[in-house]
Amino acid sequence: MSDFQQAPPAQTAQQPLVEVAPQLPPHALSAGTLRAIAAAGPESNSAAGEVTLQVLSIKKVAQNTAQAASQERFRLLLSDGINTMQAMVATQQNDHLRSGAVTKNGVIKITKYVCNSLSSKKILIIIHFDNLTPFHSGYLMVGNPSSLDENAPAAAPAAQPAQQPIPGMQQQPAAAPMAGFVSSHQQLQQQHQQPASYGGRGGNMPYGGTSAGAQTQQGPPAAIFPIKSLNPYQNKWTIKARVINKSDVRTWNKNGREGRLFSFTLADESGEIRVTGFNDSVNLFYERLQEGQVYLVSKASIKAANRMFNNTGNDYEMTIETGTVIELCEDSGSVPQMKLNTLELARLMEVEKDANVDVIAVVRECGPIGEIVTKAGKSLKKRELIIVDESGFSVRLTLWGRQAETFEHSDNPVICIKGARVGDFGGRSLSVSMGSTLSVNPPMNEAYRLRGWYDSKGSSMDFRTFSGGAGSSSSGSSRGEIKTISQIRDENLGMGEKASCICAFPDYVRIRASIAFLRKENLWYPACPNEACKNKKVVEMGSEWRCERCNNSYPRPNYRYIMSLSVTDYTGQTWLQAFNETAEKLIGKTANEMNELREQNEAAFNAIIEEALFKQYTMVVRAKAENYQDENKVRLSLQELIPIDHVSASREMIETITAILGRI
Amino acid sequence: MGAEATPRINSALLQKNVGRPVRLVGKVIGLNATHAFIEASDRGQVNVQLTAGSIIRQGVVEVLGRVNPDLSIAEMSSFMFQEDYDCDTYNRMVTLAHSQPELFGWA
Repeated sequence: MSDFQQAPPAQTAQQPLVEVAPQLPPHALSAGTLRAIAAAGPESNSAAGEVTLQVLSIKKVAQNTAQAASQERFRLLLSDGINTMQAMVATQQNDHLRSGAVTKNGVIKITKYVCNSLSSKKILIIIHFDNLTPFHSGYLMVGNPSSLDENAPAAAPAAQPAQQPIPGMQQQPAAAPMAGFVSSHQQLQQQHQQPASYGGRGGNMPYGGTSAGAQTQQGPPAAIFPIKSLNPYQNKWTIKARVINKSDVRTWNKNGREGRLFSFTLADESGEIRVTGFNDSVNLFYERLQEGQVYLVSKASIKAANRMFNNTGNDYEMTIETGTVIELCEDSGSVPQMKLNTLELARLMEVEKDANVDVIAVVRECGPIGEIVTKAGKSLKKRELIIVDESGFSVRLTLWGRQAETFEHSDNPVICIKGARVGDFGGRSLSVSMGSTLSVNPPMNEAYRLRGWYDSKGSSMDFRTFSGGAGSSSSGSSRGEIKTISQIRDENLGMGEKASCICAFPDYVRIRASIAFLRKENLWYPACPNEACKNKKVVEMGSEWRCERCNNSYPRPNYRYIMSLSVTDYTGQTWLQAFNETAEKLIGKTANEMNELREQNEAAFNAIIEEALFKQYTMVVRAKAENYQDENKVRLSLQELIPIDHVSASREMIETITAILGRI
Repeated sequence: MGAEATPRINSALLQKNVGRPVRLVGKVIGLNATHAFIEASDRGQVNVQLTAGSIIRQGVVEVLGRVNPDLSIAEMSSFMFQEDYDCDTYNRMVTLAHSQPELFGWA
C-alpha cells in the first residue's frame, strides 16, 4: 500500500477533493472489531493487529489549554460496518486531518491505537493510521452501524430508517388478538434484536405507588431488558412482558401476624420470571394487572428463586413493591403469546416424574368434584379428568382448588395446559399445579384441529393407557389384554394415587374366570316398576309396595338381581357383585321368575343355580375404590359377561407363550 | 391316561413316535369299512386302521392309537367333536408343546 499520508508538512492549503461516484469504498472494513476492542478490557491496544474502519464524521475540538492552536484535537466517529465508536486522533497525526486528506466516509487503516474508557464509553485513541482513500469524497456509508453504547445516539445519516417505532405500530405480521392464549410458532421465532426505545407511552398513565395516580411521563426512553438478564445486582432495568398465571389473593396468618399476597408470571421472548406482591402491593396492583396483557415493569426487586413454588426455570424471582412502576403497554406485538411446547400424550413415558410439560388434548370424561383432607388438615377440592389426543393415549389429569371447582364441562372441550406436572400413577398421570396455566377451547390452530379430530374420529376410538391394561371408557366395554385375578390385587387396580384420595375413575379389566359360588340369599331386591324411577327400591306396606320417588303403590315390585359371586381363575379367587343384566345372563332366568320359582319349587330353584356354577366366561370387571366405614376398599363389580371364544383365546395364549419362550 | 407317554401329534410327528400311543386330531376326509383317512392339523394325511366297533364318522375326531412302522395308526379309541376346530391354532399348539416336552411328560 503506497504511502499517501506523507503530505508535505508545509502544505496547509487543502488539495482539491476527488469526487467519486456514489459507491461503497473499495476497502473492506474490519467488521466486528469495534465490539471486540470494546469488550477486550479497559486498556486494549493494537497488539491485536490493524483495524480498517470507515470515518463517518470528523470534528475539530478545541483543547482547553494555555497552548497555541496547534493543540487542536480531532475527534472522529469510526465504523466497522456494524458498530461505531468515537475516536481521538493523537496530535502527531493532526496534519493529515487538517489537510483534508481524511474525508467523510473515507477509509483508514489504524495501525497503532489504544482504547480508553471514559465514564461508560469507550474511546479509541489513534496513534498511527494509514489513509486508504485520501481526498476521495462521496463514498457511501457501509452498512447501518449502531453505536456500541446503548444510550448514545446511533449514526444518523438521512438514509437510515427510523429507529424509534411509533407506539402502536406493529412490525410483525398482524398478531392475533391479545386476549386469551393464542400461540403461534412463528411468533416464537421473532426476535427483537435491538434494545428498542419505547417512550413508555401506552395510552394508560403509568401507575405505581410513588405518586397517587397522576404520574408524569418518564424521562428519556428506557432500554428494554430481556427477562433472562434480570439479576439482583443491577436494578436499573425495564422489562416488557406479558402477565400469565395470575393467582388469587391469598392470606396467611402466622404467629398472629396477618398478610396478603398474590403472584403471577411475566413472560417475554427470553424467558419467564415469577413475581410476587405482598400486602400494600396487593392493593396497588392486583386489580389492575390483567392476565394476557403486556406491561412495562421497572423498579422491582430481584432475588434468588424459591424453587419449591417456582417452576419457571429462572434462577431468580421478582417482588413488586410500592415503588414499582407498572405501565400497560399497547404495543405488545413483540412479546410472544404463550410459548407452548406441547408433548403428545403417547410420549409421556419419556418424561420423568415431577417434570413439567405442556399438553393440548380433548377432555374425554369430566369427573365430579371430590374433596380430600391434606396432611395439614385443610380440605382441598379436586377433580379428575380423562384427556385424550391423536397419539391414541388417554391420561388422567387432576385439577385442584378453584380450578377444580370452576371446571364444569360435559361437552368434551379442548384443554390446553402449560406447565402440567407429571406423575407416575397408572404409569403416567398429569396434575395442574399452582404454576400451571389452563385454558379451555383456546383459539389456537392446534385446538381447532383437535376438535375436528375428536368430533370425527376420536370420540369413538379406544385409547391406550400407560398402565397397559384396559383404557377407561364410560361405555364399560374395554378392549385390552386379559389379566388374572391375582393381578387385580397386585396392581392395585381401582385404587387412587394417594391413600387419602378416592380415585374418581374406576379401572376396567378383563379376566377369564369360572363361577365358583353364588350367594343365594338376598339375591334380588324389590324395585319400582315405573321406568322413570330408575329401579328405586320400594318398601312393603301391607299388601302393596310403595315407591318414594313416584309416590305410587304397586301390587308387585319388579325384582332385580343384586348378586354376590365368587369367581376363580388359575391365579386366585375373588368376589364380584353382579347386577340385573349380567346376573340374568348367568342364571338364564329373570329375578322375578326365580323369585316365584323359589316359593313354588325350591329344588328346581337350586338346580338352576347349580347349573350356572363352574361355567367359564370372559368377564369385564370394574374396580373402584370406595370409602366404606372410614376405610378405602376396592370393590369389584361385573360389568359384562362374555362367552369364551376359544379360538381367539387360544390364539392369545399362543402369543403369550411364544413371547415368553422368546425371552428365555 | 396311562403311565405311557401319549403325545399329541400331527402328521409330521408320526415318524418320531413309531410304536408309541399318540393322540391325533383331524378332519375325516375318507371313510370305508376298515380305514379312515384323517387330515391332521398340519394338513398332512394319516391312515387310521379302524378298530372293531369304531365310532368314527364324518367330522372332526380325536383318535387315540399306536403308530405302526408304516406310519399308519391302529385305532384304540376315538372321540367325535360336535363342532369344527381351528386347525392352524391347534397345530401351533402342537408345535409349541413339542418344544417343551418335559412339561407334558412326553419323552
